[in-house]
Amino acid sequence: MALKDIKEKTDYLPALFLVTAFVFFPQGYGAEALQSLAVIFVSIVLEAIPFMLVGSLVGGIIEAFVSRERITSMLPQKGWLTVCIAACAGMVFPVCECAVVPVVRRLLGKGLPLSAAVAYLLGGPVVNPIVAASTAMAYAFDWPVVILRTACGYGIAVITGIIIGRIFTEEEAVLDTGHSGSYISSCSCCENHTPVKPEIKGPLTPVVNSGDNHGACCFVKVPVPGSKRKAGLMEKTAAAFNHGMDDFFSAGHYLIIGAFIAAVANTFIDRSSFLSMSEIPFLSILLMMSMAVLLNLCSEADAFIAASFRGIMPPSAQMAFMLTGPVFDLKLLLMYRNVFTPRAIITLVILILSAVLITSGLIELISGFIL
Amino acid sequence: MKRADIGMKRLLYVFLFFAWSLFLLFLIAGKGYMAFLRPEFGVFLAIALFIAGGYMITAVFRFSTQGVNMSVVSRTLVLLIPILYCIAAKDSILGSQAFMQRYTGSFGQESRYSNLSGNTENDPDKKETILDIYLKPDLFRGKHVSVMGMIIHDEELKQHFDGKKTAVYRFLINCCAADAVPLAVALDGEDLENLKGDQWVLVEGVFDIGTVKDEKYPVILKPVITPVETPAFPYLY
Repeated sequence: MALKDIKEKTDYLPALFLVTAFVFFPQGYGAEALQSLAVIFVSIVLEAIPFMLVGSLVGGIIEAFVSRERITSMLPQKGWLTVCIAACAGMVFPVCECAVVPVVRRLLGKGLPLSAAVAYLLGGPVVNPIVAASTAMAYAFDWPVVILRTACGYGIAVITGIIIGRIFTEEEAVLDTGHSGSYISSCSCCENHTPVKPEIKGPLTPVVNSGDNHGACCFVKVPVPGSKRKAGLMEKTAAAFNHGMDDFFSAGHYLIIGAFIAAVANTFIDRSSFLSMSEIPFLSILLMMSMAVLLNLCSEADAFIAASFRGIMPPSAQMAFMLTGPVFDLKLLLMYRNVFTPRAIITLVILILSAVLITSGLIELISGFIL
Repeated sequence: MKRADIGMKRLLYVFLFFAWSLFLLFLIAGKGYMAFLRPEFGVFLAIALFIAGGYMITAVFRFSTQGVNMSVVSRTLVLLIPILYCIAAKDSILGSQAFMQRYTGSFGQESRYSNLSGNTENDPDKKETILDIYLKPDLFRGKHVSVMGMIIHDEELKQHFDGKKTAVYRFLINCCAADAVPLAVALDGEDLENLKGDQWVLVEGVFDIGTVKDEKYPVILKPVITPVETPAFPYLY
């Protein structure tokens, strides 16, 4: 086998992770840190996996039941308005950061503009009622904190979405999602490939693709274009599960690897060591942002951790923690690889971190008046 | 593409989702997930079980012409790693190592836990927990309390507990063990060094609130300590 073939057929990241997971594997009793690592790792995975599965299935349902035309017809004509609506769509469709990635991937495939997709990606996990409720509870119904978090999260999502839309075209930013006119031939599954026209042999024909490295999602038996027969509910449901399964398979391993890195950070980072630097306002913001990236907490839980730093870290640093975590952490960084090109990811990360830093800095400057 | 390769890929998918379905079913049925998550997460795991089961059935009937390659195998293995870790870490809980990484010594900000009812809220006859003490420290001050938890000795605790280096503690889970917060109460008594670290104990004594460097800290005076079995649900929720 040629070296090129081996390279194409081997993912180094999973292979590297498997070796690391073996090294850190908890064996017997005694190694307390490894036991803690295992507990934290399994916890993060169990917490996130239901949302990941739901997200993948919702993505599959969108793929199977919603046509590109319908999505396009639902969007406002003005681009900026689409971005503004997308950033607060989480209020109607509340999703956490694990679920939103596969949904956004499918929505992009259905023609949602890049800027709006990014706005939903970043806004969905912050601007939603569940996160608002958990923030309210964590901060003992201190409503200014809840409103500030929601408003800042919304603003960051809108601004980042608009800027990304200005910098990149969809082709430059998004991995091939195989745009389609209907649920039939659309393929945005695990690998980069181009679906090709099916060879029509009958009313139910597998969609064939040219990808060498491709999963089986394009081989669902569905009616082909031109066929008079319409797909029934069962067939569409089967197609939804097929697409969902592929989405889960293609993005799930990123979640696992990210969760493992988070667990390592969670196990070995001494939180009290952060406290000695809390006196310096902007440094404390940076520290809390770093912690949010490393800990990979769910957006529905991170407020409780942020609140545990009350009296220790300034409000601006707590807000930085709550604004960073839902939109950028190690787990998400890996999951974004499944949707965006490396250049787009780098730009997205720079924009997110800059926006959070500026927002938190402004909060720090006027915190005496707000919090 | 060889037929055997195609069959292998289908088998991998089926096995992956079968393993996850079985794993989730096992965790839900035995409430084993509560060693990692809040009880309310059982509903989410049940939804996950339904979807994983659906994916498994889909994989069984899937029509595929693509075979297996290293990428598919490695991704499948990655997705199975959490199950292996869970099996290996059976009966493991967060202990003093996690405590020392997470404890920041803050006390007296009970509003932080105001969303939690604690134990005595619902049933006054129940024994109080460390969470109850954190929720209403003034209510318990000067009263005889009886709390269960693990023992920790550490020199670093002296700065938080006015020179006392032994405490009883438990973790409070907000969502999952990753965000678990240690709640500790200092012990002020004799012969505490003889207690083994991370040993589960029942501590009985008089609760008080001490002060060190203008910061409050919880303490149980003249504790009577009895070793106990690890409780079925070691965390507070």
